[in-house]
Amino acid sequence: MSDPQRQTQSQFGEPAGGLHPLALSVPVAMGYIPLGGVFGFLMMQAGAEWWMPLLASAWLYAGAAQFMMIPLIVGGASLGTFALVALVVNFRHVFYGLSLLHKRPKHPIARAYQSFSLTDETYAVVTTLPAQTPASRLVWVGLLNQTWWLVGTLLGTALGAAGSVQWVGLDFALLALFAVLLVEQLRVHRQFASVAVGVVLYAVFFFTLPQHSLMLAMAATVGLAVAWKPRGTASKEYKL
Amino acid sequence: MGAVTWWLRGLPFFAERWLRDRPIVQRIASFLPAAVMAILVVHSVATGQHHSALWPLPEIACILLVVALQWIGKQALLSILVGTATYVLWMNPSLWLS
Repeated sequence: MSDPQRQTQSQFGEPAGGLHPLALSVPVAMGYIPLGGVFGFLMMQAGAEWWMPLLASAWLYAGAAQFMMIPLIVGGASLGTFALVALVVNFRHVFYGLSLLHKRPKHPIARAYQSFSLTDETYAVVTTLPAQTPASRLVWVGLLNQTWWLVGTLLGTALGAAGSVQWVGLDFALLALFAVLLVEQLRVHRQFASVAVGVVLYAVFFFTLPQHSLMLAMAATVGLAVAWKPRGTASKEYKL
Repeated sequence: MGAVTWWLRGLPFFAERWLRDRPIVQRIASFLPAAVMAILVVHSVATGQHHSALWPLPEIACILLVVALQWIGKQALLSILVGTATYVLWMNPSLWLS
């Protein structure tokens, strides 16, 4: 494949390479710096060592899943529980990766980092970019996003280490982030039924098997998404 | 936890050849993230701590505030900040009640 920059002309003749990765990453920075801050802060409040939040943000970098680590650390959960939580929350990343298959950069290290950096926020940014955006740009966006997350984590860790705060409800920030991500997904894809499906499935499992409701709801949603066939679709495209 | 995350995220890139360009992939990608986000929102409220006797009303009200702000304003930081500030002030009346 020749130089992607030269091929990235949209059908209207304008070069699609005009958006600098920094500009694309700023909206995520607006969320990631405070949210990383909340994560670092809450970890310190829960009694973590100073290096734990930074290590989690660098090595794990899972956004939402990092917050779920906090009660696990407080409660002294086993390695198996950690793995299960990571599996449940991150299963959606399998499909994030699937829809970006045509956007892989050429360099192997860049490729590896791209798969690592696919958090919800990075994915949300990346899926709203025009189709001609070169793959390297997606990787830079992912890299910048993690930088913001690390900066936020650092600030929050410093604040949290300074002393404990008596406010409750700060972890609402995570819930707010989920809501914001939901709104942005709906804005781009307009699949409003997906909200109803998710809520109904969760409610079903919440009232029958509350212990595993999150995992079962996620699994059922994935299963439904795979099996759902809009009207008029030829069945032959499901042949593997 | 990191290993699981890495492995899961890398999985589709290894299966690339036979998955590329299938319409089913496009359909899943347009449907799944929103459904998962909706589940996470409901799960967080349902399993979260009850910070007041009014639960789940303050939580739902503040989420609706966040959604409204985000839909209209498109500013993620603003939506999160205002929603969280509202919730924290509501849950900590000692902060603003004299």
